[in-house]
Amino acid sequence: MLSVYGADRPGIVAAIARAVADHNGNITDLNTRVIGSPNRPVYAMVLEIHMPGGPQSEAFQAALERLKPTLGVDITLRPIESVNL
Amino acid sequence: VAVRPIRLYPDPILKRPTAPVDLTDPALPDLVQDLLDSLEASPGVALAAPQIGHPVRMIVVDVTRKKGAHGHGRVVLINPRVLHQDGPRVVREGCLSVPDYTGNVRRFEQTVVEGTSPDGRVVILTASGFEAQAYQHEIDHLDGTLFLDRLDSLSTDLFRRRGR
Repeated sequence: MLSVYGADRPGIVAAIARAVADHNGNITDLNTRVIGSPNRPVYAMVLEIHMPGGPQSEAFQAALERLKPTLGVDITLRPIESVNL
Repeated sequence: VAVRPIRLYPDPILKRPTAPVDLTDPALPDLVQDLLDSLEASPGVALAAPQIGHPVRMIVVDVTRKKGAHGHGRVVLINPRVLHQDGPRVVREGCLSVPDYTGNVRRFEQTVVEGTSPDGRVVILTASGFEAQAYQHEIDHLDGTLFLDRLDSLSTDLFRRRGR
């Protein structure tokens, strides 16, 4: 599960999708919203991704770290936890 | 010794991991008091130091500020950490730093937290329900994590507060 938040600007979806694809990942779900106040809009995107080497791939995490300052966004990557009830 | 303004997302201080508190720092009592005063002036039940502009590991929790909520009362914890948590469930929560929204996140029904009190005692407490949720939420702040980072879906798990 990948969360991306930041000031709205062109190219956020493109750059994130590129990073996932470059590391042979698949985006299995993606949703976006603009939140925050009208004078301070925040672009929000949550992606469910499947990474062949698992989400802990260091190269992928490093690529996301590089994107943070470039895109001016916060990115959080966490494994999907499911609960059996 | 003052009420500090609550930092609002996207203030970058909310996304940065915080530093451990030096218990011998002479500025510590003032910071504790600022945190207490700021909580008192807020509509919330808990605060983390980065929310008032100090990127250090300190929280205050007092769920009894909410009518009908039970717990340990007002507790300041320095360098807190979660020792154990159990009973995952999905709950709705908000944040003073993300004022217009609430969201569905996964938290634990029971949590055991360890930290140091302002007078230097080691504190270990077991919280459950709403109070456990508050401790988990505040300790998240110390790692630069907001409830927004725990949402599974922006379309089904994020809600705009009414009347705003």
